[in-house]
Amino acid sequence: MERRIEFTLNGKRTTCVVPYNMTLLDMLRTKLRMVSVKKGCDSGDCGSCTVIVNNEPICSCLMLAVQVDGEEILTLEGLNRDRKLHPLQQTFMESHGMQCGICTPGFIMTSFALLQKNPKPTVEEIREALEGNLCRCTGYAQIIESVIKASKLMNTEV
Amino acid sequence: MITLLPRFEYNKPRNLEEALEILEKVKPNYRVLAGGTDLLLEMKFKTRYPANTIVDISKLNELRYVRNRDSHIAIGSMTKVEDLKNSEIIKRYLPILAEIASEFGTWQIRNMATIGGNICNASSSADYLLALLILDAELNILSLTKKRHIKSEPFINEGREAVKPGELLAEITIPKLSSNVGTSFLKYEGRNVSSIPILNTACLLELEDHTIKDVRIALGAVEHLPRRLRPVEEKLKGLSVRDKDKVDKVLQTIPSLINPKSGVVASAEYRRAMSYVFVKRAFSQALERCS
Repeated sequence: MERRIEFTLNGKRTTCVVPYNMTLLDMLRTKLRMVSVKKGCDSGDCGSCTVIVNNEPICSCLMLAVQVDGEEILTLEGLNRDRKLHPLQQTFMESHGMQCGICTPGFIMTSFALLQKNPKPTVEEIREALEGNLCRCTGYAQIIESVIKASKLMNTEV
Repeated sequence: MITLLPRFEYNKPRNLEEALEILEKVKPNYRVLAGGTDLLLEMKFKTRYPANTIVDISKLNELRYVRNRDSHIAIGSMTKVEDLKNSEIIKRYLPILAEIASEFGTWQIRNMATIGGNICNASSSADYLLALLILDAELNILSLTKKRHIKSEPFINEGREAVKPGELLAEITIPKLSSNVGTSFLKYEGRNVSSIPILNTACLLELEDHTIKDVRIALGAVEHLPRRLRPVEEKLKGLSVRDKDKVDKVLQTIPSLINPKSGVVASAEYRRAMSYVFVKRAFSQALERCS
């Protein structure tokens, strides 16, 4: 009832033995200590468990861990590999794109995926991309501002 | 805290042939994992989970495509909803499928959910069932020993039992729309994103001058399965769209022709009243898009 799987996690080859009936979210948090991945609603509505699998943001609570055998996964821990904050992390801090912080890793991962596909998104495009992430503290104005600032920062860095 | 899921055997076929062999071997006590967005929820909340084997076809990329074939568009059942949202072929020939995609779940969910999963899960409010109903779609179903084609309406009437044990929905084929046809899709929900709809409706309209040559209306989330409103369609055919009163009179009969269910998001009476309002809006939108 379990399987040894191999995948790339934040750029590193990783192997893990997982029970069939474990979600990707639980594997990341409990087996691999990727605790940026948050368990909010655990049913695909809140987006706080968002990780990037093969360049697409998905809800890790709705995927079995065994499904990612051979795939490429990116979590928030993978964004600042050289110990320098990613522009999104920096602007979320500067523009107060967070309050309690539990939704923040999910917001940053979805925003990261958006900026990879669309480096200069409009406010409308940001709103649409982030519609699957819920924040119950700040409202969304600062979050959207953070993404716009990060987009400018990333486009000036060459 | 770890989320407890029921225990099951897990199979991940590497190709379509292997998938069909496995289905034949493990039937009937299995569930197919396509996008997982419904199946994982069922497992978590134990709403419906009789199976002891999961057959994971989520990476069967040979069933993930949109192809332009002469008079038809062919869509592989493992095509993600996000693929439909962005496909140039879909936007050009079957824009209603992209329209549905853009109102479907969230970006994360669209990256996981497949059109085949939405169809086979046969929820009463499944958006793509409405599109199949008005587009005259055909479903291609495979098993190890045979291949069958079925029209969308009899398929949908069978609900979740439409795909038999050992079978797999492989492809959806849809005739391209001609230029004098307008389509529209409307969903009425408590909030815009990721919620259970109060109702959804799709409409297709074909005009000749100003006369209704063909009209197809599907209504979902109201009864236990979505369906075509054929008596209404028949009465609309032949009317002039300029004769707004006559058209409206026919549409006003809709509430008396349906048998809505009550639920957490809306009462039966409210659904009944809104069925007229939203079908009328969908009809008007299809009309605007006709030329």
